[in-house]
Amino acid sequence: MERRDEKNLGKLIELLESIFEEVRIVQQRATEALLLLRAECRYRKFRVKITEIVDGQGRNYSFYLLRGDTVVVGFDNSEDRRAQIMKYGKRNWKKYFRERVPHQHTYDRKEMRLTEEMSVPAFIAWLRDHLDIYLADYPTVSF
Amino acid sequence: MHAQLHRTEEATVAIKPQYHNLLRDFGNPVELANYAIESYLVTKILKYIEECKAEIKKHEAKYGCSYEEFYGKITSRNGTEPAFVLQLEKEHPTYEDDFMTWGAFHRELEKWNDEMKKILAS
Repeated sequence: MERRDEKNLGKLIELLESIFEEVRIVQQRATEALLLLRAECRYRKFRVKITEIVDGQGRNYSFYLLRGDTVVVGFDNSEDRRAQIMKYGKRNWKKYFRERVPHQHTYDRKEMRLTEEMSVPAFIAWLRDHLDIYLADYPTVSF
Repeated sequence: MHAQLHRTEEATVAIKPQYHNLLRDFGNPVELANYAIESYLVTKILKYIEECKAEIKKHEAKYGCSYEEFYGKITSRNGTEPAFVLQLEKEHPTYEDDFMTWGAFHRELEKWNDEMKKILAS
């Protein structure tokens, strides 16, 4: 397939390379119908996994900050029943069972919180502005 | 970034004069040009379908089930906490990235299989 949306993909990769270290593009595809980017990189002493997908059904994303294989924090909008229940309640969630509800996974995926939709720039801003405050909530964990 | 919409448009394509003259030796240049485009599309789409299948197989091997089974378990509509998801989170703490990628290629495969059927039926 021809790469029609390569410009957007290129900008995204440039952004990653300007902020993160050891950027490795795991997978990329840019056609008129599908934009897909999977990348792994490093931020301070953490591993970062970025997935950004745009297709006919809309936008899907997941952004993880990892220590080894443990999730330190993760943001995604994949279809998740727990997030749907959290947003709409146990009575009403079934009406929205296809909805991609943006949410956050806390350290070791112990908790889930609802969030606004997150973009790569918003994730970067979160790391810059909130990561240290967030890590302070886990004083017993060695990061 | 936003998903782009496909539009169906009729387009006029100029055939180079030297090709036009040669095509006339084999039949109607317009029909032959359309046949050439169809052949090109079939080749391209088949290649892409194979790429989608390979991506899907990779995920099937990793998670030991089809996308439909995986999707069904992830989005189970029963009222209890699905044990499958809890186990999945332990074994694959970032499973959502695979789930989304798998889903995207699954949709792409369905879409391009349909497009192929339409071309072959036309």
